[in-house]
Amino acid sequence: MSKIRVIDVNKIYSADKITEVEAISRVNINIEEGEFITLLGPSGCGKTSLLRIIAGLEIPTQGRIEINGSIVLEPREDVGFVFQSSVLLPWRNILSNVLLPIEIRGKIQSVNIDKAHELLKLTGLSDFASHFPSQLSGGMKQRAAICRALITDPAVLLMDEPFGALDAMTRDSMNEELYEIWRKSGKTIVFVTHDIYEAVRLSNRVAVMSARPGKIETIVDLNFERNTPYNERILSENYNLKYNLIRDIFYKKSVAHVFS
Amino acid sequence: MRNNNKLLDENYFPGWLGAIPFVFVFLIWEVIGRLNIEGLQYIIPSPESVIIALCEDLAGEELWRHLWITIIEVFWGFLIAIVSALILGVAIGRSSLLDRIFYPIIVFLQAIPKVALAPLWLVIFGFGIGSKIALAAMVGFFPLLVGVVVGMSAMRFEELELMRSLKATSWQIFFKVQLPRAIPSIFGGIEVGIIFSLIGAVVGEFVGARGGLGYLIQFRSAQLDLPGIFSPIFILALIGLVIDLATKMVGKRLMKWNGE
Repeated sequence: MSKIRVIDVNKIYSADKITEVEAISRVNINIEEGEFITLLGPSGCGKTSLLRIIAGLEIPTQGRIEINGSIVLEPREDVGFVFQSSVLLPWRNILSNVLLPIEIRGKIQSVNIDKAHELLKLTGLSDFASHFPSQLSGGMKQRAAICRALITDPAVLLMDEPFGALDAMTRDSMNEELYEIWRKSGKTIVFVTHDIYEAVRLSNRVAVMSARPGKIETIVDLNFERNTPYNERILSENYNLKYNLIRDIFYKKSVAHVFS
Repeated sequence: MRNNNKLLDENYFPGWLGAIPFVFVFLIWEVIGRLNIEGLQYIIPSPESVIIALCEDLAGEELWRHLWITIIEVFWGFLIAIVSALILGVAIGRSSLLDRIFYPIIVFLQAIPKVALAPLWLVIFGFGIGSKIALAAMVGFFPLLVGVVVGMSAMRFEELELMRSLKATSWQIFFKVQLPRAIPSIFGGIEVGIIFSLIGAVVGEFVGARGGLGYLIQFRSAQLDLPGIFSPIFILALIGLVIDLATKMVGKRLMKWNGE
């Protein structure tokens, strides 16, 4: 059985009493356990809304989300969320920011602190545990935010354009780190981006979305072996092939749009 | 290099330049005194006579007794103001129902010049320190309340979303995010409110009292003891300065993170 099931999800926002915007239209996806799936699309295609609905931060107008067979009505403890910006609390140091989810659930124990240090080490932030967020670069902050999402060891990680605000070089190295984390941990990751390269670098499958109303155009299976190392993956023939394939889908769509 | 922008220029000029206006005012004052214009010495006492009066006051008992009364009034007035502003401000900031109920009357009360109520408090609370405490509390209350209410809405939307995704309770959200975010604004309110309380107490003493620096000023002006008026004024200015510096210092310690 699938880990996450998106079943006939519709989301309608009413701007005022007359105007209604259909942000998401009849979306169905089955996400397998341990899969890395990317929701890819132009801005305004509803990919973020869809992710927020999966997270239980928003309720769909119609349809439902199931995780492990139970319907999602509110945020779940076994789901971690990484936002577009790092959202670190500026008055807490990095360690204390990373431990925030534990603190909310109960008491911080020494195992938690060890785990936090381990995560900081994994993401190259060991020397910055007692620094404040304002002393860190954008990429480091986002790494800390990922540590915070991982501290509770969630089975599912939802990521909303987490590297969107970073420069291309930092983004590339963050992609590699995230890919390695996923490869070793076996977590289910749903990742939102508008960057085709990023989608092809990271995922098993790419759900290509289109806007107004937001719906899934097609789901592309990238056909990589699960354990392919990052560098091997991005140097492979298949990587370019899949990049061009997805690019063509968008291109044809936009050409069709222009001439119709 | 000198820039033409004030923000870039901050440290270009030395700090002692601020002493110039003080020296200038003092010199003019002294010159006017030396000119010995007939009649003027009754209206503008010479710096010498003011300093002598101040020294006599500091050596004597009278000033200290009145100073103590004013300090007591400001202390209790401000304490009442800050406790009630925190309770009401937090309640309004946390509940849209209470916001709807209380906001209009707060705006209405704020529009009343509070010192205009001084005679009323005198009737209700009498000639003793009660009426001054009431006025100090009321005058200091509104800047504090504004500080708290504005501070309560300083939490960012993403921070609320983060806390929701972590399944934080509304009190956890309050103590871990909303309150720390409100601190700068609350301290802004404290800086203004405490000085307002001082003003309130002194005005209350003007209107009718048996003690306090305001009472002393009025008593001496009735006796045409002009140098004697200036020494309590000087002390009042000093109190204001000390309070202001102290709040700024405490605030700075609490808001080390406030670079962001």
